[in-house]
This record gives sequence, C-alpha cells and structure tokens, in this order.
Amino acid sequence: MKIDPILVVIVFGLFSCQEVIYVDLPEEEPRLIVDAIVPIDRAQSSLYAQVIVKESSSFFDEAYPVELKQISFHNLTTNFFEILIETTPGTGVYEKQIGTNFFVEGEVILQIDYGDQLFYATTRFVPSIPIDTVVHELVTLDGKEKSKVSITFTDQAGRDDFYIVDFGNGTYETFDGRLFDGKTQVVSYVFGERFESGEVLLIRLMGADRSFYNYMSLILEQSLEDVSPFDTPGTTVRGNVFNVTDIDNIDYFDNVHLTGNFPLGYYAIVETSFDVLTVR
Amino acid sequence: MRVLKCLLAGLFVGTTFFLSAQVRHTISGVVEDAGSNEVLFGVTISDSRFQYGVSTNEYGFYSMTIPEGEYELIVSFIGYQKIKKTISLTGDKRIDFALQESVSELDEVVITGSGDQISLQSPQMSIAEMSVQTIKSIPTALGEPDVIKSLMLMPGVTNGGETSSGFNVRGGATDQNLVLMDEATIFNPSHLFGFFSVFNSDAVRSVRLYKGAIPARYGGRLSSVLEIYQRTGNSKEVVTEGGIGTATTRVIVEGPLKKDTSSFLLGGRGSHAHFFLPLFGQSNYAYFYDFNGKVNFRLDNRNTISMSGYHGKDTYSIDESFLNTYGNSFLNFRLNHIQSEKVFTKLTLVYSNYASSLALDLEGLKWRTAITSFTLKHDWTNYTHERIEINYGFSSIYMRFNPGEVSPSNEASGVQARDLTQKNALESAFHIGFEHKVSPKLIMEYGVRASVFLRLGQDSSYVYKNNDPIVFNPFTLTYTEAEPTGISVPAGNGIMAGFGKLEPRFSTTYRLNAWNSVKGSYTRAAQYIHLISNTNSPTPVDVWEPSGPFIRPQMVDQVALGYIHATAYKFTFETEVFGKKYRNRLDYIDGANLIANNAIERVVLNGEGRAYGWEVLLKKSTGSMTGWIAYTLSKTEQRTPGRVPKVDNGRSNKETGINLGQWYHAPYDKRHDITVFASRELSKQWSSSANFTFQTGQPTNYPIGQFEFQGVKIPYYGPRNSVRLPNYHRLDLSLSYLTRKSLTSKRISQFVFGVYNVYNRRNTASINFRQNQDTGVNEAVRTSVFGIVPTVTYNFKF
Repeated sequence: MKIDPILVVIVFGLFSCQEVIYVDLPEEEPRLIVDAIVPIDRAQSSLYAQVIVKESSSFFDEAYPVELKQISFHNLTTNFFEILIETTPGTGVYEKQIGTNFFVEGEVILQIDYGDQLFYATTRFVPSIPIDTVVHELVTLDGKEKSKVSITFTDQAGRDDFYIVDFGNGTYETFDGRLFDGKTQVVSYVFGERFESGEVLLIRLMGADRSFYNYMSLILEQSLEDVSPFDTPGTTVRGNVFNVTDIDNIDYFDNVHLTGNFPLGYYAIVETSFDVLTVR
Repeated sequence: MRVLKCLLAGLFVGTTFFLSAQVRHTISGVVEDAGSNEVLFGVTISDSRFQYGVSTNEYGFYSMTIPEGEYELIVSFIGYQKIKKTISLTGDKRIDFALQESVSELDEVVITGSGDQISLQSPQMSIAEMSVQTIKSIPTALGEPDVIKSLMLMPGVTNGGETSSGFNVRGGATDQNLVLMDEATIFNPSHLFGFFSVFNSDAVRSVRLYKGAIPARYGGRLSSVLEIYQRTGNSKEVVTEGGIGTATTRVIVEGPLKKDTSSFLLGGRGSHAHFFLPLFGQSNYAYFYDFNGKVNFRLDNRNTISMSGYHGKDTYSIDESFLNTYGNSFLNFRLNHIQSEKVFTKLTLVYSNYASSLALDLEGLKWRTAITSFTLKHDWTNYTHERIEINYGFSSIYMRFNPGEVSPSNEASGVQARDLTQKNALESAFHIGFEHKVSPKLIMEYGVRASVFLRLGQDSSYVYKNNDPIVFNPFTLTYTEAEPTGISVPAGNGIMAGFGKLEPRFSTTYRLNAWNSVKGSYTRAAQYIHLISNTNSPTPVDVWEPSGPFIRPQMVDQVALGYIHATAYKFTFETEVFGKKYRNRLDYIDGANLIANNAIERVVLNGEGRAYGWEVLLKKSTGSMTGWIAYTLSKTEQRTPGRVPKVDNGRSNKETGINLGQWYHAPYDKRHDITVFASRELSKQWSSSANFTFQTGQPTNYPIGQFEFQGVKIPYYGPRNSVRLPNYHRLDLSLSYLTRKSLTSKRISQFVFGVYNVYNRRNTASINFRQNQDTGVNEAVRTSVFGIVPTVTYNFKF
C-alpha cells in the first residue's frame, strides 16, 4: 500500500524541482540473482518451468548471465528430481517441460551449483483463484487520456490468501486478500499513457503466501519507478534463496556467521491465471 | 497531604544547618503586564544588593522568604520597564506587580532565559527559550512565523529536512519530544508535512525547550520537553491582532469578559484555500486550519480558573482517489490556587485527541486511527524553605489507542469493514524535585520521578510460539512475522503488562565568579509509547504503539556538562557537551508494513541508540543589533543486535539483528550544524534580520547494484544510512516596516518582506534512483524543495 508519490505531487508541486545528477556510487562484489517463479495452471498437465540466473554488476550496468554447473528441482515428498537446461547458451535462462503434479504436491527444493558455491531454496505450491473479468477503459487524468485496466476476481472465503496482479509491462500490484475475504474485488491500474487499439496485454493473477507477498510488496516499493522523499529508506530486499556452501551441519548449522554472501531473488510455486487483453 | 508535609519537613532537617536565627518573612504575589493583565513568566524579583532573588513561574507567581528588614525590590523583565519598590518587611506580604512595556525595547530579540545574571545562577541548563518577538522576526519559507522552525536555529535542535514533520533534539527521535501546549500533549506538532507548526504565534505567550536536564515534573518522553503557553487574553480591553501572508492568514481577538478579572482569547488560522493547487488537476487540494480559544477567570486573588482549547485539521486530496486528513484537538481545564504565601498549586484536567484518516479509492479502502487521552495532574510548588523550592505532584494519563478502523471507501469496494484492536493504557507518575541554593555559588536541582505504566486489557491479543512474534531465519538472515498460535482474550479489564521506572534527575550550577558558571546534569527518563515509522520522515499516518507484552518502554540516560560566560559588550557565551544512551528503541524489520497492521509486535525489534555532541552558542540579547551564532557537532547512531535465543536446540541460535547488528547513523544525524542569526533595528520603522544555516547532509542509502525480478528492476543497498546527501545551506533575509501612531499606541501595522534561500541553492531533499523511461538507463534524481522564495506578510494589531 503506497501513498508516497501522491503526497509528493501535492506537497512539492509548487516549489520542488527534480533534476538528474551524477552520483558516485559505492560498489561491491557481484551477487547471484535468481528469478524462479513457477506459474501453475492446474488445468494443464505440464508446464515449461523457467529459472533465470544472472550475476549483478554495478547499479548503472546490466546484470550478466552466468553458466551454472547444475540447477535442479527436487520434490522431497515424491523424491522426483528434475534438472534444468540452459537451452540457449549465454542467456542465463534455464528451463524444462515438467509435469504440473511435480510441483503441486509436497515440498520442492531448488538447488543451484555455481562455481564453488551452492545455493538452495525451498517452497510449496500456493493456490489461487481465476480472473473473473478484465476491462480496459479510458480515463482523463491531469488533462490527458490514459488507459485504465481493471480486473475482477473473487476471493475464496475462509482462506488467508494474498495476490499479486501483473498488469503487463512489469506493472504489479499486491493485495492482502484477508481484507476482502470471500468477496469480489475490482482492482484497477491507470497507466501513464493511452494504449493504441490492437495492443495486447498479458494479465496475470498469481497466488502468494505471506512471505512472497511481503517480498513482492517490498521490491515494488524499492523499484526504480517511484521517486519520492517520503520513501522508506533503501534496503536490500533479501529473498528466500540462500547460500549453503559452508553449512556442514557439524560446525555450522546456518548462515549467521556468513552475513555477506547471499543471492538476490525469490523462488515460489504459485497458481497463476492468465487473461489476454486486446485493446479495442 | 499531612504525611507529605511531614516527609518534606523531614527532608529539610538536613539542610537547615546554614540558616541563621534571623526572623524571616515571605513576600509573594503575581507579576502581570500592566497593559493587558497577562501574567509574566520569568520576571526577576530581587533586592537591590542582589542578595536575594527569585523569578516568576509560568503563571506569574513568585514567593521569596527573606530576613526581616528594609529592602529595595527590583522587578525586571526584558522588554519591560524596571520597577523599584522600597518595602519594610515586618511580616508576610503579598505584593503584586504590573509591568509597563518598554517601548524602545519592543522588538528586542530575547533568545534564552540564560545569558544574563539569572542564568549564571540558575541550576537549569540545556534550555532553549525564545520570545514571540524573536520568532516573528525570523524569516521563514512561507512567511508564517513558526515556533518549531525558529527553535531549530538553536544548537542541538534539527529535523529531517525542509519537509519533515516534527523536530529532533540532541539525537532524539521526533516521537521523543513531549510537546505541551497549555499542558496538553500534542501528538503531531506539524501542519502540511512540517511546512508549518501547529502553534499560532499570535496566541503564544512563551516557548521553552528543555533539551536535557529535564525537571522531574515532566515525563513520558525521552529527549526533550517543548512547553508552550498560550496567552490568557487581555482583560483590560479588546485587541485584535493578525496577519496575512503568502500562504496563511491568522487572526486573534482577545478582551475582557469582566474588566480586570476575566478574559477571553479566540484565534483562527488557515492556509489560503487551494494554495497548493495552481499546479495540475482541478480536484487536488491541500489546506489546514486551526482554532485556539481560552477563557480565564480570576475568582479572587488566590484562585484562577482557565479553560483552553485547540482544534486543528489538515486535509490533502488528489483526484478524489486519495484523501488524507489529520489533526489534534484538546480541551483543558485548570485551577491555579495560591494555597498560602508559600505554596502554589495547580490542578489540570486535559482531554486530548489526535486522529488521522486515509482513503484510497484505488484500493477501495478507508483507514482511520486515533489516540485519545485524559490527563489529571496536580502539582504543588512549595517555597516554605528559604533556599529550597520544592515541586511535587502526581499525574495520571489514560490513553486509548485506536490503531484503525478499516472500511470500504465506495460501494464497489470488496474491502470488509474491520476494526483493529483498540489498546488502552494508564500512565501514572509521582514526582518531587528540589531547587536548592546550597550556597551563594552552588545551586542544585535534584528530584525523582516514579512512573508506572499499565497496559490495560483489550478485546484480544495474539499468542505466539515461544512468545516470539518475530521469527528469524538463520539461513536467509531475514526476520519475518510469526504466525500466531492463538488468540487470547483477557477477562474483564485485566492488565496485560505493567512497567515501573524510577527516573532520577539532577542538575547543578557552580558560579565561579560574576561572569562565569559551570553546570552539569544527569537525566534518566522513560517513555512508554512509541511512534512506529519506516519512512525517512514521519508522516501523519504513522502509528503510536504503547509498550506491552512484547514491546518494552524506551529509556534514556543523558549526561551534560556546560560552561557559561557573560562578557562585557552584552555578549554571552554558552557551551555544553552531552552524551546519551537509549535502550529499547524500536526498529522495524526490513519490509515491515505498518499501515493497518493489527500486530505491530511482529514487525519491530527492540534496539539501542547513542548520541554525543558539543554545542556552542554565542549571543547578544540587547542593543539595536541582536542575534546569535550557534554550532553543534554531534553524532547519533542506533543498532538492533540479534535477540538472545529463547529455545535451546543444541545449535548456536544466534541472530544477526537488523542491519546485521551494526551501528548505523540515525536518519536525522547531522555532524555539523551552524546557524547565524542577526536582527537589527534600522530606525523606528525599519528593522531587518538575516539567517544563515549550514548542516551536514543527512545519512541515506545509495544503491550498490541492481537486479531484475519478474520484469521489475530493483536496486539493492549496502548497510543502512552509510552515505550522506550533499550538505545543506541557505541564507534568508527579511525587512520589516512597522508603523504606529505614537510610541505608546496599540495600533500597529507591519509589512514583512522576506526572501528565503537568497542564493537559490538547490538543497537536496532526497536522491532517488530510477530507470529513465526513454533510454532505459538508470539515473540518479535529486529532489529539492525550496529554491529562492520571496514572501510578503502584513501584520496588524488594533
């Protein structure tokens, strides 16, 4: 839930001034970045699971893909094992077609073997609900016509659900379903521009557990879109993937002694419903 | 009461050894302004040989017990004509004084109570005091005289920047200031995000800020006490006063209800409608207003009743999709009673309310929060002993925290109405403090405050595994909210948690000679309520949280040493060093969501803080040119180490703490802070003032890298607050033209022309990092708030 940019418009509109400046930024060793969201559609018998693994560089540079020794999913309950392949070398995209059931039952581990380091994350399938409707309309804001996309969905009563809505083009909103338990909710997003007729948007509604909801809310807050003096102070958003290289379970049972070496990104298996919106 | 008197009498026994056998009598009374009957605070009453001296309290009362004999009393107060009165003291006497304003000194800058002879003698230190005239002469960005912005020109007082609400005193957080207006607690002293403060300068009689050495009679906050009294109103004639400025208009009417015995004061102030509007859409607006009112009845020469009230409100709205309102209100009843020549008492009852609401149409959500409090205070000042003034009393505050009612903002909204659990608490304290003139050179003030805080039963509260509302993940090194294992419903009005603290206070002055004094103090204070904020600067929707089963009261220990030198040429030089240690300062975990959160205990941990500083103030309080140079060197840090493990599972169970347990700069840490202020009377009509401020840039975080996740680009950072924004500095000027028919005329009109930030420096409010929408390249964007701002204000009085 964000109020910041709005306040800025009001309070600073009259006097404030924004300009691009040069800032000398501190740098550190590259970090592993893991983007491992497995979208589940239970109507389909299989899916193309995809994990993007890269390494960070400085703030002003792009991350670059990395070549892993191995990356795999392991279902602890069924004891099935799936190894992902970088189908197009040099992209950092590791993928494989895997049966839906592999992900839906039990705890599924993601293990990444990179150089002399071993990374690990674990999660379980989170269910969600289908999108009821998607509507596009034009609204006038600040004297300009803009595209407004609204989606409707109905929360399942009695279950603590969280939702992440992807309006396309990397535009997300997060919702705490406990606020409208069992009810139908309309969620809208007003884009900064007006979409041309024929333009296509892929809308996604993802389920989330509280932890993924928190992670997503936080990275959206920290994302590079908003500029505001009322922002929460910048912080490194740590996900659920961690470095297990030194955990030998003899002397070291955890990472408390190893505070600096952690990867970025998140691993989740979430039920996802899609809708394709064609602007008319 | 008798028991207390016996106890006090017992305390005196040990201090009477230096008393002679002379017969002594008490002179007491009230000192008022002759023109308005307004009581005067801080007036000095002494004998002509300066053997004996006292000053009036905040209600104008004084009491002095001296040996029988002939005296010439001198009653003096800056800005007023001195009174000399010869008396023959053969018995207890009541003498009231009415002082005439001295016209030539009307615009004289009066900065602090210290600096003259009295401050060299006073045991108090670490005080910033400012007259309303000074406040009105200081240029501000929007032309409206501002109490808080003026105090920030004093050493040790800063804030988070031009757009920050509240203020920070000696490394304290904004919630650690006890802001009292007519003894009522103000929870948010700012309008429109700190552009204005809630105090109407025309209604204010006195402003005093305790930065340390806080007397035992104040409690409940750690870092400072800002004590503001509103004027009682003119009981001689009806006077109207006000001003019209660039951004605001204010007006005050005061006058007698019954001449010389009762008075009223009514004031109102508002920002000009849609002041912030001319910019974008048609439906955006932002405004504030506030009202002050006071009635004062002098029942007889021993009893005065007064009632005062305040109501203020701020509103922002944008495109009807966002609406935020907030405001303070209070109603105060007070009885001042002169029990005898030697005992002054006051009984105070206060109702106070702070409410804010937020409506987000996009999310279909309305959220309202409030804090309501009822205060009962009874204080006594006992002047029985010639060399010891004793202040004692008790206070009790019942607070009801309503952390929120969530409701749907429109019919289409699927949001379900729900109330977050109300929290109730009772904070009570007994205090006793002694101002003890041990010898002509040594004065001590010592006391203790015994406070008890009871977190009263509420509808329900959560229960957690191992009593642990926050779970640490030793692999990802993150703190996350625990899932409650159940809900407990206490029976009836049970007490969920209770805390008791003893808060010793001590300060002393040793006068080396007529021109030099050294001072020292120690303060321990407890604060039972916490403002939870995870933005760089507080916002009106921040939530207050009482201590309870999971959140402990915050504590501070402060030590300060000072030296005062009064030079020839009307200069005084003051310097102080201080050190502070905070315990149980709350810190939020990364990613904490504080809005409409029913379980704040799941997102905060108890941490600690420390602050050190050196303050210097050189000032000139009299003459046609007045002003000061203030410098503060300080360091403020905090940290939240990992908690002590509760469960032994055979492993280390260590935690890393927030920010990996490292010390980091508080967001309001300013290493260097320099202010130069000068005001000069150019002629009877014209006067000018100038103000220069320099501050080290605020601590902040810059990204050290970025990553992309699901199409979203996110920067990541090093340790908290490890870099600083560029330094802040600006120069302001103002010129005022005053006309009055004659020197004694009450009719005044004044034009004040001001220029804020004369050299148009683009001071950095924040630096944010974003992706350029056109090029896709990351860039740093600096936001600065005020460039050069010219203002005109017209003030009047008739």
